[in-house]
Amino acid sequence: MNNKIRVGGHISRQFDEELDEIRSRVLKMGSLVERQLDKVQNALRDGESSAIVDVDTLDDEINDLEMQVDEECTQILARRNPAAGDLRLIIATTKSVRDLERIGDEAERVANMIRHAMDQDASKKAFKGLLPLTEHVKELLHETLNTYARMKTRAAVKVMRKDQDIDEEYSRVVMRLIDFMKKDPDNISDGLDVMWAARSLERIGDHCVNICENVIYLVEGQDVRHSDLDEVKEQLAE
Amino acid sequence: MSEIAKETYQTVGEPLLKDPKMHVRNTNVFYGEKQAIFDVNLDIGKNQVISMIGPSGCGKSTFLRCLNRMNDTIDICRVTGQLMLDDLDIYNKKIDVVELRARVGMVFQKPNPFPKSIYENVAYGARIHGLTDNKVELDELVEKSLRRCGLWKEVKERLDEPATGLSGGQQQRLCIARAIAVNPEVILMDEPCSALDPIATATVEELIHELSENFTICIVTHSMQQAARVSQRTAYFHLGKLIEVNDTSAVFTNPKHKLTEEYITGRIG
Repeated sequence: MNNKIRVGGHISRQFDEELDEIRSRVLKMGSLVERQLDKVQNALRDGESSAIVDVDTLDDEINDLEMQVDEECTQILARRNPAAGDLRLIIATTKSVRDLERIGDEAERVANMIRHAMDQDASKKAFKGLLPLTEHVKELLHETLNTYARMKTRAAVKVMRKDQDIDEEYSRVVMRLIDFMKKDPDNISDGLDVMWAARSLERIGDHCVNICENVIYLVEGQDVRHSDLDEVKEQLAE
Repeated sequence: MSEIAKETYQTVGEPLLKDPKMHVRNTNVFYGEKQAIFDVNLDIGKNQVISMIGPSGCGKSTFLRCLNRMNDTIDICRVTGQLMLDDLDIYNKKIDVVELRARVGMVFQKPNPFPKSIYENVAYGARIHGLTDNKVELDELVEKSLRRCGLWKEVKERLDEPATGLSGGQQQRLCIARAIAVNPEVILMDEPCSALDPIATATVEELIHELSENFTICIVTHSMQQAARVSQRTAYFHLGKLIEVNDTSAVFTNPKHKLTEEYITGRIG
């Protein structure tokens, strides 16, 4: 745990428990989102749509958790009047659960496209090309959740840097897909589907960056949104 | 300065201002042998509200009472250092303390109206400070002061009734009206809402906000939410030391000192 921010140690132990509860729910949401991406990854690797059958159910669970966390944060704002690090924890958490919920939506969207594509051989092949991007996004998500759990700003900056690699990878995927579609107009429909799926994966990376920005705000009290990454690093070094 | 006061500690944040209304330098307060305030340096901005917060016994009320020499009433209390109101050295032995307290008024925790009529409570200060004895002028002054405190409409029909018949919140607003009737430059408030219900508290807080256009206000409060609501700057005291001073928004969202953070998040009290 970073020494700049402390979740426990309140005179009110009940307040400590409430904050712990919220954090553990966020991490549970994170683990469900990771499972969604696992399923997407397995389906792409094995070329089987059976792996993704219950992605929708996971998304329902994620949505429920988002609402629970929001409600608990509202209660804490109303009843505890949190200040300083506690206030930043609540603000960062309500924002992060929104990003996690959207990651869940994007994962569900990709899963549905894969399910549809697995019925057709040509599409299956085109989708398989998304496997490396999926793996990298999954890794990024895992590191983001660790960053939130441990409240490490340096790790947050690393994730933000890695997202830039994902953006580049996404651009390469798009270029490849354009070539693929140019070769044969019959490929256009599949190509566009894969492009939308790649776009969703790239968006997941962006949501991870948002969560990392929230972690930096939580720990340092600095709003680093819309800042250049090198500036962020400099600000944190100060 | 005592040996203890030489312990190194640095107030975090921005205790000093350009062109302050009051400035306090290297101030120590002793009750007999016991030191209550340690080497405080702080500026109080003109027409600003500054809140003093901190756990019980941290010295915030002691500090507040230094600002108009209310501590003079305690025999064993000794104040060292420099405390200035504009160019006036507050602790200069030659100054008239009564005049000082007309310039730096005070409102206390418990509403303490005089056992006189509502009218007389407000007119009293003006009379003893010789501001006016003219009935018409006094009437105007009483009305103006009561209006500024939002009390005129509530009491105009019963100005001759005893002030003690008013509700707690009305009594406290009357005390504020009494304080501002002598046209002070600074108003010190020592937990002015701690004996009031939430509605009366909200009324007094709104009044503080309005008065800050014309007066400099220093408020000691146990309610951190009140400090957050009413003040532009917040000073955190701990064991007689001024730990942190900064804009209220900064103190409550991102305090710089660990002790401030622990206090406002309910980890020490």
